[in-house]
Amino acid sequence: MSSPREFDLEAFERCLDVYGADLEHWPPEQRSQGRVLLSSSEPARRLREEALELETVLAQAPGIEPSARLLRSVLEIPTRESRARTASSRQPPTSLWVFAAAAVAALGWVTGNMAEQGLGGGEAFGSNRASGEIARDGALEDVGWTEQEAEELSELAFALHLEGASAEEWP
Amino acid sequence: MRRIGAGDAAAYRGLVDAHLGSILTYAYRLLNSREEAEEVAQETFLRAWQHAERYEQSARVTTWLHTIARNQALDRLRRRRPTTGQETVDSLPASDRPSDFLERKQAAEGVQEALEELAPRQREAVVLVHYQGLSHGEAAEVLGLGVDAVESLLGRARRKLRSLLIARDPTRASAPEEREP
Repeated sequence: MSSPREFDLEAFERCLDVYGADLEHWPPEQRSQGRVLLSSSEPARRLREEALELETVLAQAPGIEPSARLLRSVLEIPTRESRARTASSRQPPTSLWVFAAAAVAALGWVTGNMAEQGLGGGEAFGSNRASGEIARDGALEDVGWTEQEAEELSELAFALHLEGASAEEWP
Repeated sequence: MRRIGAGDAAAYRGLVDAHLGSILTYAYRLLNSREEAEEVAQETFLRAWQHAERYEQSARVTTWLHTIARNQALDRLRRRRPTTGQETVDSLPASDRPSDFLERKQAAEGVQEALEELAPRQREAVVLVHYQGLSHGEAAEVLGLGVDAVESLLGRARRKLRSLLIARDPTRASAPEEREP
């Protein structure tokens, strides 16, 4: 059971806890009541001193300053985001990749077909080997390709491969 | 924020200049780790840049940035240790040696440790209002609580901090000492 005076002290302490030691931050009604109590109550003044002391101690926990690295990194966000958007918009058209893949696949089919026909008994065939040796073995002629056609297809596939490598280097 | 949403890098620079330090410190007080605080700050401003066009002009920028940063910090806190799905209750045991805090009370580390002793939401309320300068209403918005709830958290937090950091003079008025901490 508390008297109105103690009650006022309880309410005063609660306001100190909720709003802090500066009565200017209190709601108007509590502020005026608090000022009255401060003027007449030594316990109220001591409570406020404790609240001020707490705030002084809390203020000693420093904030931290951004490092130069962080500041630079944060400031570069618009540039990085812009580059990322530009890079995604500069990718070569899908159709070119499909054509290049198809040409390489076709060359692979051709060389693989000749391997199945027993050329070299298990030798590995690659696009670089295709033109001259196939022509000499006569395999291309067996499937209706001339030496010149084989060389042209090999050059085309190689050129498309080079184009693909340079596209990856685009920003 | 409208200009930032339109890709104005100079406006973005102004946002960074005005708020990076505050957001970094906020994250640091929640995480007690500079490295993680910098990650949170980085992510906060990345999202601010990416989503500026969605920013509601009626809200304060400070509140919006703090909300983003808080979500990032909470993600990291959750990854640190398994959660039980329950928030740490108010009845954290007082330090067995409160004099340890008193001895270090002039040191920033002591204050940070005392903040760590608070229940998470109490710590958040104190950090937002006392350190970050948000109003009770703004803190309530960041925390997703009502103002009364925030004020209750502040009250409990300050009483806890007082018991940890401030020596009580036994000759002072008895009424406060008879109350529960």
